[in-house]
Amino acid sequence: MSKSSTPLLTVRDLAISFRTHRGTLRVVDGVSFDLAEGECLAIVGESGSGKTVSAMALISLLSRKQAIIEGSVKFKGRELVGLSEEALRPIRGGGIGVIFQEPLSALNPVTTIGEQIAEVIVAHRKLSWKEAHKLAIGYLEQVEISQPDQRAKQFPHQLSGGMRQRAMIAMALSGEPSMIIADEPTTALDVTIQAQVLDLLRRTTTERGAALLLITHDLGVVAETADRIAVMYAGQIVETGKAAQVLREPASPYTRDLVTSVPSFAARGKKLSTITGMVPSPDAFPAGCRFAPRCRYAISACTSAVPPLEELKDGRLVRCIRTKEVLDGTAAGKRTAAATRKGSTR
Amino acid sequence: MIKYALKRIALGVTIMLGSTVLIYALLLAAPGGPEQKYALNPKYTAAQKEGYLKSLGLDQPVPVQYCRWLGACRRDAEGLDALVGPTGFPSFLPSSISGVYTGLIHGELGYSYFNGESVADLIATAALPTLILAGLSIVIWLTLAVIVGVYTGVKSGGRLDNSVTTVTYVLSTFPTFLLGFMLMFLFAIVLDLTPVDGMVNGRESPAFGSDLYWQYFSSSPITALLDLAAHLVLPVMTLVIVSFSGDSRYVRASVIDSLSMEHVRTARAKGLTRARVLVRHALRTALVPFATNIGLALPFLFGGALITESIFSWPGIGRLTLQATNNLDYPVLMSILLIGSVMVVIGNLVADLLYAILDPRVRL
Amino acid sequence: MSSNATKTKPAPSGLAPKVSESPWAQARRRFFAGRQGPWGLRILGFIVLFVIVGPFLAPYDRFSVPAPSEFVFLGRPPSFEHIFGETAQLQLDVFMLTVNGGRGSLLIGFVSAIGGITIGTFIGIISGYFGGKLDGFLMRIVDVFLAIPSLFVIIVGARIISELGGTGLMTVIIVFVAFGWMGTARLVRGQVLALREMEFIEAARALGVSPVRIALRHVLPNAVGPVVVSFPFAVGGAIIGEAFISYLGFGVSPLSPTWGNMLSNSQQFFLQGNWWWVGFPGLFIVLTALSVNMIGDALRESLEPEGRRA
Repeated sequence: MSKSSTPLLTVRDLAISFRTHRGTLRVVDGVSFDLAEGECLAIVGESGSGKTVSAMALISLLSRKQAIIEGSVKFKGRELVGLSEEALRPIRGGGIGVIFQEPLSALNPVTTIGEQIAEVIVAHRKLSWKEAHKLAIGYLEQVEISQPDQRAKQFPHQLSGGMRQRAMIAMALSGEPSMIIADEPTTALDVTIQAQVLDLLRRTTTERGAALLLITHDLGVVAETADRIAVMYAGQIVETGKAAQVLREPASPYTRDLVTSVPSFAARGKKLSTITGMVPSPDAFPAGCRFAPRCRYAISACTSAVPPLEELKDGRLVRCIRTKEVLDGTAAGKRTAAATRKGSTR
Repeated sequence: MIKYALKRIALGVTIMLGSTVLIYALLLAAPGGPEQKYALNPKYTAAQKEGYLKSLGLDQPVPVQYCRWLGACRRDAEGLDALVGPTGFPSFLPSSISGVYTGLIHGELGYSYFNGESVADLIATAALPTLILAGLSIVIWLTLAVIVGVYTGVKSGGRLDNSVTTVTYVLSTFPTFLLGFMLMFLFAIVLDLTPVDGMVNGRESPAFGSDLYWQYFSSSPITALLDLAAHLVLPVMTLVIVSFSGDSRYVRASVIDSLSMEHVRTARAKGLTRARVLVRHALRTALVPFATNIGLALPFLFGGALITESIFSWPGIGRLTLQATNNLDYPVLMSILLIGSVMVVIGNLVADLLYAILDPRVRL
Repeated sequence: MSSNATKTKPAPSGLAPKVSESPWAQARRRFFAGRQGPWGLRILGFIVLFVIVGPFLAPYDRFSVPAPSEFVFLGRPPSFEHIFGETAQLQLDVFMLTVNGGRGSLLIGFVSAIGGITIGTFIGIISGYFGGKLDGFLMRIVDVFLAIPSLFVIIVGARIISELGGTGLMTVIIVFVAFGWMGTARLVRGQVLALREMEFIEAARALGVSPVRIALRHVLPNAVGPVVVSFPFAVGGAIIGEAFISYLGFGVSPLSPTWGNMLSNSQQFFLQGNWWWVGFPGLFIVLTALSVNMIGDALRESLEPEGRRA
């Protein structure tokens, strides 16, 4: 994995607004992150946090009539925001591939799998249809679909959910892109298949040195696969950093609550911890920090202005003025836990 | 697939037979009919009138008449004897076995009560004009509907779309016969561009379909064709305008719907050309429901131009139906209705099959 | 785990506040927010008003015939005295005829539609909800009726009715209702079948709600959507259908005018130059058909909004 100094993808102050019949609504605000070559960055957040919208906006997949995209998205140094459809075309699929959440609706129901993969190859790699079809079978093999030559002639509804998602992965890979955006790739799958598909996704991207932008709400998925994490809440990024670090020592209150709310074996017998309240909807974002109404570290200063994204000593970015208390709290919690463990072995 | 088709055909046949029973019952339940011709005429004695009725078989009870029409009863016998043919086999069996040659099952459609001609001949003569008119109209309106529908669907919301949609909307609610009148008034009277009605110019050419006509046709084909074309303009325009406006809106809605589908987004995300995204992904799924329209146009071929034919005095099946209805000419009516039902059933079947071909999810 | 945060007020975001609405209220809002629906209602309202108020506006009795000195065979064109002109031959006032004709046509339209839809809904619910042999039997009948090209049926039906001696409005209405309930029946049955399997119905059953109450309180309101949408189209179809069979001579007798039989009487004079006798009833038919279609489409869009992606 070659490491060059400029990141593959640079997103700065991405803001997305939608035109609705009730007015223009800003849904995503000031999203900034980098994606290095070959790395896996997971964007984590609850539904409604704006993560899918942000990912779709990168290659302008949102409806041009309804969505307004501001900010900067640079892919390999080239600015993508504001590009025409025609200019974006070679990048989509050829530079950046996409895997969607629900393969049954994302795949064309009346066209064969093989053809849907072949057309990506033909569009981006200037090969004939015959060659493209042969290559398509090869990709199906790579995603571990049995009898790929037969499967290629079948239609999406004839495959199982797991196979469909693998086919989608094959489709994304066939353009030989430098990065792949995977929007909740395992959410629609059975738990038993989730791990397989995820593993496959990570392996195939690593093998090629392709970066992976993983959108998910599942922290378990993140822990396994991601190198770095960006946490989103109510349309903003609240924390980014190395995956292990963010999960073990969250620096923002939201991340901390998120992590502790995952039921764990160690906390067996204790009350399930939850986050009180609900995620605010875009038409009712609070002034100031958007998590403040639900945050137990909140002080009055939190509600007066939106905290900026600040860099910590270890290179992490956090959007919170109470970071120190959060980190202390985690440390304290660990000490208590350790003490309890010592005490309970009696 | 074959099983499916066969099942559907069997179902269709039963439904058709059911409808013939219904219509026959209705027709015969109504008073009036052939005897009206002579009912008030003092020249004919009661006995003669009765004899006339008897010759047509109208003195028999309704179920018997139906049975004879169907071909399961012999015409020249009464009561239960009629159920068995001269050879001793049941009458409904094929002619060579039962010796019965009358009735629908044996391919005999009867004779008109009105003018005594063979129903089969009457229908055959009237079928060609209708086929020409309806066939031409269908091809034109389907093509236009797809073109306009796709274009306005893709460009939906734009100014062109808005104006076209408004126009087609108003046109689609226009009753056919009013439109026919208006067009007739405009083009034939005011502008004097086209003939008023009819199929051929009565002063110059023999009636369409007759032997004289075909002689005329072969001797001067260009004049005859031009004459035909001139007469086709108004009725075809009428049919096309009303039908295409409705269908194009249907296609447009379908296209708009399909453009917002997820797999179209996937196609865009794959970086395919605009053309391919549109044609191979959006249109491919958008036009599937439209296939049913094509199938349903089939019965239209046969009887749907009824209104237009009557306005423009087009010598087709429509006009034949109207005459027969006026005269309560049962044999003609029954045969027309039967063939009409057959076309409806076939049309439905074709629509279903087309759908199954186009949409692999539907295949059985 | 209590929070010591202060409650924050939502930031003003320039949007209208969301008020929670019932589906009916939502549909109504959408209906009146568009342009089609309200305009359709306005046009139809104008026509209905015209038909009701008309007779009081014009001084003529519709049977009044002018003096012989004013005899014009083709009838006089629109003038101040006769706003819509006169008919040919008898020179009756076209305005009065149109108004009275409107009453006839609209009556046929609405009553046929109501009758057909009521019967259709009733049969559809029974068939769909109780299923089994009853359903099979009823649907076979529907299929048989529907297999016959509808024009044929209506024409033959009308002819028979006219033969039986009744050529009044009632008989035409009966023919339309008798041959028009099938479409609604099938539609409603389809809805009921789909609803029957839905979980909220299962839930009601599990809670022990009586079948009748389920049918009336849960199934009916949800099945009624497409029926409501089809109502305006049924009215329009009946009016045009009546116009057509009257034009063919099978419909209502000229003694009680409808727009349709006005057309049938006037068409022979149309090509000779009397355009107003055909034109005005024709205009009203077109306007009625248009308005009714607009209402129907607006209803359909407000009850089932197209392509709304949340």
